[in-house]
Amino acid sequence: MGGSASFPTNGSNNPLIDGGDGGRDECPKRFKTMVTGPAQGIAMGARLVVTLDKTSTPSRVVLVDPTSNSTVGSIAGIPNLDVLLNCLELGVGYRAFVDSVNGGRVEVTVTQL
Amino acid sequence: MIIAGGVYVENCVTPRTTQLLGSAGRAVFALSEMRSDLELHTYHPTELWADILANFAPICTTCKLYPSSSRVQFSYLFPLGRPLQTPYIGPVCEPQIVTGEQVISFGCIEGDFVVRANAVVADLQGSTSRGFRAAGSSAEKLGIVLNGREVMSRTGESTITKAANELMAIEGAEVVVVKDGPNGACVFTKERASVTVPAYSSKSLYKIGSGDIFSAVFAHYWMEGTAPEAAADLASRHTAAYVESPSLPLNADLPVQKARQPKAVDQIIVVACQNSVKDMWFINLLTEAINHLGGLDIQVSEIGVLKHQLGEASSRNLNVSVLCVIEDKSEVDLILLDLHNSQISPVFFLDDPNANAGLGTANGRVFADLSQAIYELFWKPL
Repeated sequence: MGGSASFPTNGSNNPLIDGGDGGRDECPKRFKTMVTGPAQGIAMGARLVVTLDKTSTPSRVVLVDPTSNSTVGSIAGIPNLDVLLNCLELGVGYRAFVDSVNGGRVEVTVTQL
Repeated sequence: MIIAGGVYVENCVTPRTTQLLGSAGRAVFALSEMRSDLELHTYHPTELWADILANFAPICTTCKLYPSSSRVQFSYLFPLGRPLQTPYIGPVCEPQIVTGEQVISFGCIEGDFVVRANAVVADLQGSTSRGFRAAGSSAEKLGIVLNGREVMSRTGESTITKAANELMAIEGAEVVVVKDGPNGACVFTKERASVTVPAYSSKSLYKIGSGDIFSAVFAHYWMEGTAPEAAADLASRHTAAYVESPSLPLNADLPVQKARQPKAVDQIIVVACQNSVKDMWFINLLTEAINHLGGLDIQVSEIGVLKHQLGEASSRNLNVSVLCVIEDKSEVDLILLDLHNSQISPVFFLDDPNANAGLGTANGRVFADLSQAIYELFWKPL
């Protein structure tokens, strides 16, 4: 096995995208997940835009409420998030449908447009 | 603060979830709104490092990754069930040295972290290593978090108090916190008598990773100077908030929470159908989860037979809790007939997400969350 590697994450280079392979074919079509850091007031049945927040370094995948244009949570803590991130970088569009809101547990279905 | 430990895929059937967290990953997410100095150290296959970075780089100042052979996955049927680990690997990676001011070190499947730091909280869950100092780690200020079963197996002592004091002496720890599931946690320090902090109420129990949350919050507050007893109480409160949602990152503002009072339990009777392989498989799963919490005398019964078993328990002066697995609400009255005159308030589990709202009885409590139903067996009703 090779050696370890340390990735300072406050630099300008995004290690997630550099050298990233794969194209649109790899992009997930549909998956369900929980929202990380959900804002209060997310309603069941709401449709959210899945987009990249490039103001954070490195970028995050966030959910935006199109009616208020505000970020209402993010997608994180899931396998293959790097693939989703690359797909968004490639311009593949996604939206999220809020399946359920149970206290702080907000579940969404993310679908490729 | 460095958080060293495993990042694993966790699948659960009910509630259906797929996450990439593990102890270290969960702790990082948990504390990410309370701190801005988090550093993740973990093992992972090099071909998946980009995925680790996609998930954790936005909330960490540094991700330090060490190569391993496989991404490990834990599959749960329900949060209190014993997970299936795939692939089943042992500690095959070279131990890694982690040096810093403040470190939370979690037991890790792939290999050991040898920690050298000013302040350390070592969560020894699942760790098969020899112990913190025996593995070559050192700390000026050491706190150890583990559960009752672990502290007794590590020391060979017969009671938690003896075992915790023995561990504190062996490791030169300032504090040992022993988690005890529904009974909360017990805080042992050299200076003062042990203090028990309660478990707090929550409407549901997503138990996967609750111990990680406890350790992370305890470490955060204790390392900032909060007294260990108060840090453990905050950890218990945040754990209750987490298992109810389970939403990350943690919110520093806690809701109003009631402490749950444990009750004396000598025997648990599980009332359930035993007509098929499916029934028996489920009963085995259930009794294993209950046994893991308390190591109690567990009896399996059926409607109609329960009255006789309760009489037997009563003649032996046993404190009994009853868990009834019901298929529909009509079974409640039949069971309550069996319990007539017994003073026992049974816990009903009904596998129906609407059950909590749909059924209240004068003599029993109904839960749709199996983990919650099991925990309620050990608590006095609110």
